Amino acid sequence: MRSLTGPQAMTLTINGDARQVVVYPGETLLYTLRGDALGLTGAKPGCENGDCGACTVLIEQMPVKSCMVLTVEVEGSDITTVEGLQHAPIQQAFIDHGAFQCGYCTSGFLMVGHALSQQPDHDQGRLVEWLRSNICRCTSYQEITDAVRAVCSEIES
Amino acid sequence: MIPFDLFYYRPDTVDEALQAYGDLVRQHRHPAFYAGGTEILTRSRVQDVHIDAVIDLKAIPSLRIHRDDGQTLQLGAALRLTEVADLNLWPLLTATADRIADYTARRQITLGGNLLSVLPYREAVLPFLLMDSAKVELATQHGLQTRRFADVWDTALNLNPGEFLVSLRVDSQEARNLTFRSHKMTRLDWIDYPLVTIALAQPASGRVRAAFSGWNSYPFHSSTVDQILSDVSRSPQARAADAVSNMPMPAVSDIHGSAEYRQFVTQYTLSDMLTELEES
Ligand SMILES: Cc1cc2nc3c(=O)[nH]c(=O)nc-3n(C[C@H](O)[C@H](O)[C@H](O)COP(=O)(O)OP(=O)(O)OC[C@H]3O[C@@H](n4cnc5c(N)ncnc54)[C@H](O)[C@@H]3O)c2cc1C
Ligand code: FES
Ligand code: FES
Repeated sequence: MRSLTGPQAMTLTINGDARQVVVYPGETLLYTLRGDALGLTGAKPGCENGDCGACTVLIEQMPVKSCMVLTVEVEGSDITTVEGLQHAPIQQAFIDHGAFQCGYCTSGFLMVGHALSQQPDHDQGRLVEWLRSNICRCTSYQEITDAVRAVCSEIES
Repeated sequence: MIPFDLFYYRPDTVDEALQAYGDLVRQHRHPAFYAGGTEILTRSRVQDVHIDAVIDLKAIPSLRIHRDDGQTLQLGAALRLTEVADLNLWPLLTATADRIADYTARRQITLGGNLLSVLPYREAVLPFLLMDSAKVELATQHGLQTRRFADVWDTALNLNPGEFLVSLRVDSQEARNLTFRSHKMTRLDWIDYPLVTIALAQPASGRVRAAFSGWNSYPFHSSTVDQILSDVSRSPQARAADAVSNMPMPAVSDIHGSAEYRQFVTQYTLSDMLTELEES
């Protein structure tokens, strides 16, 4: 049985790099990522209630709301944050389609869109279902959907 | 925020989990079994619950089981809702569970976590309320116990402190041979808690059974309502109206809608679902 109390030194694999951190068992992944040690502030705290998706990162290439997972749960997993997207097609598509206004929700949507584009199946139903996980207060939904659809179609062709 | 000095245990066996719970209580801690963690973390953040130790059940193999041997369909309590849907071993459960929360959240929420939620909705309960054969496997201080779902459920799954849900079982023939409909009605958005969620099921030869979430403070099934809905000599509209007037408790008024609006939505949804069920 794994039992953790008090601060723990551990190695997290983030954006392909092994990063040494000290975490408390009660820390959410969102908190750890944004803390001074890692400084990865791309994942945004929005509702911290599982509703908005601004904090979305990828665990093993699949979207997870980082406000709803403890860091100790993802030790040993592959974590990707928006800082790990380096010239990914989804980023250019967001620019091409003007898929943001204030930008607060953007990193979360980018992560969902990127993960979806890497799936073997990204038909319209799936696209709508995945994007419903995130909220954009500026209501750029049409542009976001267009950008994600464009990347998925490009990959298919 | 969940306390930083939280104790986090991840047992590999049922016995280790039971032992950890007992030890923590003896140390005057306030432990909780932890599965998807979505409710524990969000409630702790707003200090709606005082938990200072969690026992994460997800590494215990029997809570991750999924099998259908042709007689019994068994699903582990720590399966995520997306896993339940992807496995699709029981289409009625898939249809109901797949409308809970949003896709990303469903990748974290577990079947057991939804059934044992403190929230009124617990939509994944509905299919189990419709099956006479439904059973729960519980981890207790006296070992693993299998009990009829109906014996453990009144307004919630009643587990004693220190007990946890290991898996759920239903008769696979009964589950497979059901005609069913499952509809979730929300106030405005596709993703929301329900105004009302209705699951209807009908065995090849038998009465219509209905279960409801969102109508009141807990999911329920009522044999009086079943009887009304099964009277095929009357139109679906007449049966739906009668069912709504004979619910075992009044509809709630809350931020999702007034009691009157809930009744209206429930009535026309039931009527449409009955029509669909009987035409299929
Ligand atoms: C964004 C969001 C949207 C939601 N939308 C819906 C919705 O539309 N419909 C709906 O019905 N619900 C909805 N919920 C509620 C959600 O389904 C419940 O909060 C559920 O409890 C979460 O499951 P979990 O596995 O994350 O539970 P956890 O947070 O791990 O646990 C919740 C409770 O169950 C107990 N528990 C968990 N597993 C076991 C077990 N095996 N044995 C004994 N006790 C156990 C825990 O001790 C705790 O008390 C939503 C939640 C979120 C975060
Ligand atoms: S901050 Fe995590 S879902 Fe809103
Ligand atoms: S662009 Fe402002 S919240 Fe989405």
